Amino acid sequence: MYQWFRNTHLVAGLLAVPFVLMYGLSAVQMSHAGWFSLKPTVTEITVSLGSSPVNDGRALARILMDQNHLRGEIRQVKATDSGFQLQIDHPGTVYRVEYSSQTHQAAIRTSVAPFMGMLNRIHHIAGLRNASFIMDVWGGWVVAVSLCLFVLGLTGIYMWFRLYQERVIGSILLAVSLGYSLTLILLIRAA
Amino acid sequence: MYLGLLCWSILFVYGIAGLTATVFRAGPPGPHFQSSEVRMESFVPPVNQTDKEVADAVWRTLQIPLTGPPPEYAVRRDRQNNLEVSFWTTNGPTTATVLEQQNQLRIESHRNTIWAYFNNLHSTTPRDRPYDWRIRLWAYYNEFAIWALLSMALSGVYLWVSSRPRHLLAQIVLGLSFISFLVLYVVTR
Repeated sequence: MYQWFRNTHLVAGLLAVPFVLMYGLSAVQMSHAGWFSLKPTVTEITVSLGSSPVNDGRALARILMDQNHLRGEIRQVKATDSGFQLQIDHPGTVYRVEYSSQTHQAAIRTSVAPFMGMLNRIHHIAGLRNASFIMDVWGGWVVAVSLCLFVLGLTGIYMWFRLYQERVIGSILLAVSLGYSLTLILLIRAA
Repeated sequence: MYLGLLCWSILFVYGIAGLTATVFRAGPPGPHFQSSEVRMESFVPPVNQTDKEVADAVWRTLQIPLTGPPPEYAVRRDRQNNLEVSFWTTNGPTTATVLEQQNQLRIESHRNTIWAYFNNLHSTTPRDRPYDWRIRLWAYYNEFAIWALLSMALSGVYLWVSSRPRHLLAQIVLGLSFISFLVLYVVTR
């Protein structure tokens, strides 16, 4: 029995480890934003869109996506004096598009986050009905890692309990931890 | 092991947060609130004050649990030019609208479901400089747990490598998860 719990603990831990490291590192970044530079790499291109004007921001986004200039979700569409502006977000990448209906050209400004910024964005991916299959796979891993945390907690507590020489110190630590955290969880919820 | 025992309950908070984020993103928007309430309260705005100062007066009047003085970004004017002040807590948001001509406050408050509550708990860190002592203590615990989680992940791999590195299933699982992560990262990038 003990061996089964030990193997399960090992497998769940190793399955989750790259994702737990990602969540941990990005949590440190979010908690201490000043420690890391999140200055994005910015590139700009201008795309000609033929002779007929595009009158709708979503249609423009579609054209640019089909031409492989960008991908992601439309976050903002705003009319301007000369045409309109779009913002399209993809985890770690922000596209700002300025379309001129006079010149029929779209200026695309692409900001790509550095490694820690990318981890930050990945940290926020969730759900199983996203716009893209890749996001759904990330969402699937969120579920798997969450379940692994439950498994690690339950198998870990069993394995600790079987280590007789660690029961006293472990009981004290667990009591302190549960007393502190559960009291706060209840107090905050009841506030 | 000691870190695991110290962070045992928060492991479940993180797990619940992950599942909650999955369910909320999967379904229609709006299931975060367990209940909502709109009420009116008398309020005479102090004269010759800025919007921020009036917002602070609203905060002192309402004394919403877990909140601190509203930051600048939580103070704005709505389409009718009424001052609107947002208060955010782990239990749910409250918006107070100052109806100056009627000397009234319109207070719209929402209470999060228990799942959204856990989701908020997992993202509460000292970075937000929590005003309330309960939130502050939780934020310190969360900060500790973040570092503990990183330490446990690394020490767990070390314990495996130093005790039974030839465990075939463990090798396969670690390879699978690392390759999945790298492929997903590259494709997403």
